[in-house]
Formats: sequence, C-alpha cells, structure tokens
Amino acid sequence: MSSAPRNALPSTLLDWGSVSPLRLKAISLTEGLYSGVHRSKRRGSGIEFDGHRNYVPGDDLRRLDYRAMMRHGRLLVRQFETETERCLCLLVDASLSMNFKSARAPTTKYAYAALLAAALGRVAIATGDLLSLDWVGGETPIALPTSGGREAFERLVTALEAVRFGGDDALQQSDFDHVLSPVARRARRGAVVVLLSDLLDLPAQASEQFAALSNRNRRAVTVRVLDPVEVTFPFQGPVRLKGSYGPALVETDAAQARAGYLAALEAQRTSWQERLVPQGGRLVECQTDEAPIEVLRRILRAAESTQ
Amino acid sequence: MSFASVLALLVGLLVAAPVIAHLLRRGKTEEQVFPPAHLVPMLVVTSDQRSRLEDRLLLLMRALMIIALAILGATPFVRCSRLSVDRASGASVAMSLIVDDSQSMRAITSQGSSRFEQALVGATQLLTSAREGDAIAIVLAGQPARLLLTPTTDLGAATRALESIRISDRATDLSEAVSLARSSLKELPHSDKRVILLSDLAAEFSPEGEPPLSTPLTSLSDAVDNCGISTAERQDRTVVVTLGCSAARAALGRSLRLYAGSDDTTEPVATEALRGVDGEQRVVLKQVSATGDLFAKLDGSDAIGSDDRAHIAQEATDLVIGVVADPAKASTVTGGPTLLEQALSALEPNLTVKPLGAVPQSAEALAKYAALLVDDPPGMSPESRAALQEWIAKGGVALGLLGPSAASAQLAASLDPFAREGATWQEIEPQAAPTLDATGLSWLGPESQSLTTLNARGRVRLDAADLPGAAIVGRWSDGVPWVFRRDLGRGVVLTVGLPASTAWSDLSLRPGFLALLDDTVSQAKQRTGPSRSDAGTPWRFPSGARLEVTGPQGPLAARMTSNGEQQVTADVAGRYQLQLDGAAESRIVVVAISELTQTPLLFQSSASVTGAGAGTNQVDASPEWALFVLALLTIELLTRTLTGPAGARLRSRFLRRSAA
Repeated sequence: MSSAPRNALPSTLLDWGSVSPLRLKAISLTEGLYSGVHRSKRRGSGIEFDGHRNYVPGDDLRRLDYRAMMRHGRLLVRQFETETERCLCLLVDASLSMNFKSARAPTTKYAYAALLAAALGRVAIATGDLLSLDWVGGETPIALPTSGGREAFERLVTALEAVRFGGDDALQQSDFDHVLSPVARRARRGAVVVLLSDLLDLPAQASEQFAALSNRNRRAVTVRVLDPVEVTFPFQGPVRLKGSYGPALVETDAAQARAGYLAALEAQRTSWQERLVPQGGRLVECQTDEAPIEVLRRILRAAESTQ
Repeated sequence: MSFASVLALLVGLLVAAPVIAHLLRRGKTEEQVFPPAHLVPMLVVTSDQRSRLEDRLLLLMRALMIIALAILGATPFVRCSRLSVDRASGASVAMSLIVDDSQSMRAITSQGSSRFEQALVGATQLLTSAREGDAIAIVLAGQPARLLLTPTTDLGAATRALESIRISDRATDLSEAVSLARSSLKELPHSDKRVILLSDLAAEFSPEGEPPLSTPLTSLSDAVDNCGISTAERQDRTVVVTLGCSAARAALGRSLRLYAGSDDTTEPVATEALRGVDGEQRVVLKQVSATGDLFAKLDGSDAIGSDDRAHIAQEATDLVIGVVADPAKASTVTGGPTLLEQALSALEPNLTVKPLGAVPQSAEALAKYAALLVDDPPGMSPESRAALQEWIAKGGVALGLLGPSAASAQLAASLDPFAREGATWQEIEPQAAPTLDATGLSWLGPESQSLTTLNARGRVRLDAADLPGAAIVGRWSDGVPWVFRRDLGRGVVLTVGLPASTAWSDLSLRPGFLALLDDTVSQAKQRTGPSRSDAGTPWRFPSGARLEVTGPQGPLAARMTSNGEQQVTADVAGRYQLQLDGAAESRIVVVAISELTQTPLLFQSSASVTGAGAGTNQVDASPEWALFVLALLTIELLTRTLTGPAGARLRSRFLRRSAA
C-alpha cells in the first residue's frame, strides 16, 4: 500500500501562499525602503561638480581650474561625481527541497526566496543598478542576462514565477561549477552576488566555491531560507522522514534525533559562515514565517557592509 | 430477537476494521517529507516499540466505540435482567414491597451473593423504575412482621428506608407480612395496587387475596444446603444442642464439635457426628468435664456460616411457666394434665410447663418462672402474696382465672394481687346468660370473636374488686368487668373472671382462650425475658430503669413504647449482657429452629403469584449507551490530540511555564 507523504507537493507546482501575486508583493515590500540604501557613486569624470584637489602629475590638464589656481596660488583640478553601474547578481535555488512548506509556514521556501529576490531586484533597479538572474537546480529555468530599467524588473518577476522544480538527484559538484561560471563572468567590479537557497541540496564544496566569488571588489551574500519546521524539528515520537530526492527514508525517534539534527544544521551554518566571512562575504539566515521586510533589511545591510 | 436486532449487532463485526487497519500500519509510522532528512540521525528500534504501544491504546478505543455503536443500535431490543414495574394501564402504581430480613435470607446462593443482598438489589431496581405519583410501602417479613415505611410518594424516603434495612436472625412471618402489606395499600386511591414479595418463601402462608402477590425473584427460592445451631445448653455435664438442616445431604459427613474458650483451632473437648437427616435433630454430648465458657461449632461449610457456631448456655434456658390448678376441677374428663397445661403445651413446644400444688411462698422459689398461671385459687396466704408481689415487681407475669373458689376464701387468705375481697362468684341462669363484649377484646386478635358466643353458667363479678392502677380490658355484655390488667413494677397481673374448668363455661374450649394464654406467654417473654429467646422478640423494661444492653454487634439502644416502657429488640443471635439498675443479667438470643429446617415453598399456583406486579422487562438503554459512546469518542480525540503535534506543543508550553 502506498500513501502520499504528508507535507508533500507535486514537484512542478508551486504554492505561492501569502506571497502571491509576487510582483505586487515585491513592490509593496520595497516601498519606503529606498532611504538608506547604497549610493552608487564614484568620483571621477562626470557632470556634477564635487570639489577640488591638488594636481598630481598625470592628471588631465583639461581639469585644471585656473580661477582656483589664481585664488589659492597652487594647481588645483576640478573633481566631478561619476555615475557607476553596479550589478546585482541573483542566484536562486530552484531545487526540489525549496518547494517545501510545512503546516506552520505561510509559504514555500522558494516563494519566500523569490519574494526576496524580486524585492532586491526592485531596489537595485530603483537605484539605477543592473541585475542578473541565475539558477541553482530547476527544470530549464529562464536565466536573465545583466540588464537594467523597469523592463528588467518585469522580466525578473516573470522568470521567478515561471520556475519549474525538478531534477532527479541532488546537485553534483560539476553542476554547481556550471552554475557559478556565468555568475562569475557577469559579476564585475562592485557587483553583489546574492545566493537565495536552503543550502540543503548543494554539494559539499558549494560554500567554498561560492565564497570564492567574493573579493575586494565583489561581495557574495548567502541568504539561507529555511522552513520553521526545519529550524525547530518539532516532531514527536517515531517518525519516518523522506528527503527531497530518492526513495531513502529515515526512520527515527524524534526526541532522540532532535539534538543530532540541530547540531548538523548548525555545523552547516558554521561551515558557510567560516568560508564567507574571510572573503568579505556574509551569511544571512531567515525563516519563511519571518516578516520579509526585516529579512530584506538584513540582506541590504549585509550587502552594504561589504562595500 | 428480531432481524433488525441481529442486523444491528452484526455491525459489531466491523470491530475487525480498526484491528486490520492497525495491523497494516503496525510498526510503521506515517511518512513525512522533510528536505533536510539526510541531516537526521537514524534511530529505529525505540521508535518502533513506542509506536506500537500508542497504537494499541487507540485500537482499543476504536474497537470499543464500534462495539458500543452496535449495541446502541440494538438496545431497544436488548432484554435487560433488571426488575421494573409493569405498567399495563400507564397509571400510577401503589406498591408494597415485602423484604424478607429473616435468618434464612443470609444463605449464599449459586450467584455468589446472599438472598438478602439479591432482594435488596431487586427492591432498589423496582424503586428506580417507580415514577412520580407511585406510592411505595415497605414491609419487613422477619418475625414479627413490621411496617417499615407507610405508603408514601416520596421516592427518596423509600430509598432511604430501603438502605436502612439490615439482615437479622429473625424467623419468617410471611403470612403477617403479606397481610400487613395488603392492609397498608387499602386506603390508597390508586387503582393499580401491587404486593411484591422478595423472599425465599421459607414459611407457610397463603398467597391468595387482593391486591395480587408477585414474587419476581424466584431464584431466591432455590434450595441451598445448610445446617445451623438453634440452641445449645449445658445441664451439669451434659450439653444438648438443637440444630436443624435444610436437607439430608447438608448433614452428611458433618459433626458437631465442642470447644473450650473462644478458639476453634484447639482440640475439641467433645465431638459428635450428625445424623444424615433433614429437619431438627438434638445432639447430646455427655460427660463434658470442661469448665468455663464453651461453644459448639459445626465442621465443614454450608450456605450460612454464621449459624454454624453458638455459645453454650450454662443452664436450661427454656421459658418456664408455672401452673397452679386443681386437677380435680380443671382437667378433662379423660384425665391427664389440666386444661391449662395442655393448652400451654399446644401453644409453644419450647415451653417448660411445671404444675404446682400451690403458689410458692418465697420469691426465690418463683424466680425460675417467667409466668405463673393460677386457676380458681381459693385465696392466697400472706407469704404467697408477698412472694408473688415481689416476683411480679421484678418482671413476673401472673394470670389469675378466678372461679367459684373465690367465694370461699379461707381466713387470712385473699385474692390479692388478682382481686380484692369485693370479687364475688355469681351463678348465671342459662336463659339470661350474658356474653362477652368483643369490642374491648381486640388485643386478643381475631380469635376474640370466638368469645362472643361464650356459654357461661357462672362468673366472678369483678366490678367491686378492682385494684388501684388496674385497667379493664374486657367486659361482659352487661358491662361487668371480665379481665383486669394491672402493671406492677416490671411485671403485669391479669385477672380473668372465669375459671378454666369446663364445668362453668366453655372458655377453655374457645380459640380466644389460647389467644389469652399466648398473650400471657408473650408478656412473660418480653418482661422477665427468658434467658433464651428467639431473635426479634422485644424485651420490655420499666421506663425509669437504668438500662444497658450489649450484644454481639455492640450496644443496643432502647426505644420508648407508646405505653411508656423501654423496649429493646435483639434481632441477631448470640449472647446479650444486660445491666438493669445495676444488676447484671445474661440472655441468649437464638435462631428459631423452623428457620433452619423450613425449605422454600414451591408455589403450585404460580400463575396467581408471579408476573402480577413486576418482572424482567425490555428496557431501552439507548441514552446510557449513547453517553458511553460519546465518552469513548471524547477519550479517543483527547488521546489523539495529546499524542500528536498539538499535544507536543501543549506539553512544551506547559514545560516552559513550569520552568519559568
């Protein structure tokens, strides 16, 4: 006799829950969030005057301010604000484990991650930055090249909504290499790479590889999205637990297994933390029953702190 | 059982469904998706064991629920074995419950409980089925029959009265109990009246009459094997034990053992085998040299254990009646004992009747008599009068049947305390002979009617012989007193204006005469109290006397009678210690031999007896079963909730609060 396991969803359907409709929710989430976000400015050539500095050999003689030179008696050059384009590289996990929603959670982990991704994209578009979208797992997901403007946000929402979960097995190391390669190419100087995932179906070396994206001019932020049940392990008595992939079952006594599970979860978090922080990256943790606005602020703070 | 009932009960077969369901999932808990399952350590053994334990509890609940539902479906058709009142007309019922509290009801039946307990349960069931407006009376059938509860519509009072009934060692008086029960219902306006008898029917009585009699608990009449000791007395070195057996097989192989002290684990001082017969038998153990307290015990076991052991009374305990009568005047023409002696012997077999030539002249000589009957005394000497008065004051009962000798009293002799000198003999002409007035003789019972046609050729006129404090309790039809009753100390004096001799009247040939003697003997039992009396016999004492009575079950309280006397009724067999104005006295209460030998009657006319008032009925138990099913459902839901995730949350919340 076969029976459908509890909490299961068809692998290709998505329960958006309280996140639907994604576009409106993302816009609503980012309203009033612009103050305090990063100013994407670098001094250099531009049109908006920003002050003077002493001349150093090699400066463009066209920038010498003769009036100031006459007034101060030394060579001064004019400085202007330079409008730069930073890129927000979103890397969203569409593996089967993200399509999980417990009875205590308002939505699936993927829907929550998609909301965060859409909101981040809107913030980036609003500040004039570019964005791109890549996927971890999923069946033929739509990747977005680096682009800006309102159309980029619309395309982002469409791509997030069109996702189909899939894959017969957990992600292998080589698969993750293929995922990171285009991201590394797109993420140029000043870019922020944000990975939205539960980190459960990623290969063992994923943390190390992702942390390698972070350097002096490029920051990597990992957002670990978990369901409340995955954080607390509230089961009682004997349980039969089925993972995302394969027929393997874990039969255990919840009370006895709880401590071991929580320790393993903590070890995974520590592993990611230890890889990211030395590289200037950050790990942001959240649960799907948390207020998305708070999580969004934490992500933005993490991204700013790396500048 | 109808098809619908069978169909409803077949639903009970569905009890297999949860069993199968539980078996299929036995040891396997429900599968749940949990993406980080690979991080959970695997621990299998303990989880399986716990799962099975929890499942069994739920399985039990569910199986019980299905069975209860099946019975709920069938309850209108289920026959319950509880008693209830038949209501053919639907009107209120007046019901008199006769509960037998006699000794034979102590018998443990094959059902494992005593007949008395079964009777009480039956009575309680009948009370439960009573409705508002029903009148209930309760009569106790232990001798003498008593009306415990006059008819009342207060069912609470009836229940309380029922709870107050205790088993006794009394004899059975079904005839009087049925009569009492019927008369108690007579004045009630109910059209539907019932008399319900809850007894083992171990007594002679006639069930015929109105209202009809019902004996719903026929199982009480099932025969039991029992032997019991009635009396046990010691006379010098001989011990005489009277015992009775309900059946010969109850006596087979058993013996009577005599023990010294109170311990039956010691070696018996004497042993005698019982004869394997039913009915009464006397066992005589001779040459008993042991001194001090003795008790007799029947070995083996039977239906009533309490009557297998009895203390040995240290002297003869029969009721002794002294008779002073001239055989020449008051004997039958064929000779033999006097009429008084013959009547007393016929009255009660356990009486010891001693003929006396004259009234004893000392109180000590009179002390062994409980009553003294004097027939046609020619007068008494001053010594006899003084002794008689002293003896009466201590509780003696004297009956004087005055006759023609009263007119020829010798010098210094008088009839005191029976009458004074004014008593004169009067011969009556047959044509103008008065009869006795029955209206004043009701205290003699229905037999008093036999005296209304008395033929007398002479009488003692007592109208001028009355004594201080004497009450006239019987008159001739012309108003002349016939019987005086006078209380003197603890005793009583009865004076009758006719002798026993048939030469002057046919009084001694009338049933009323036996009733008169019976009343005298009863007075003797109650007042002086024989050292042995049957259970249930009331003992009477003067109102002002300081009285303490202690029996086998502790102190007994005296109650005041309507005529101002103290009365104690000992209804449990055994030895009683009395303290009356500082004087100690010992009395033995025994089980009547008839109670031990009488076997339950089998009614031939069962149609007129059973099924008239109560019986086993079909009772709709649906409400009770529905409540039971509801309770099971609640427990099942609670169990599931408490063992599930919600229960876990509740527990953790409780633990957190406790920790805080």
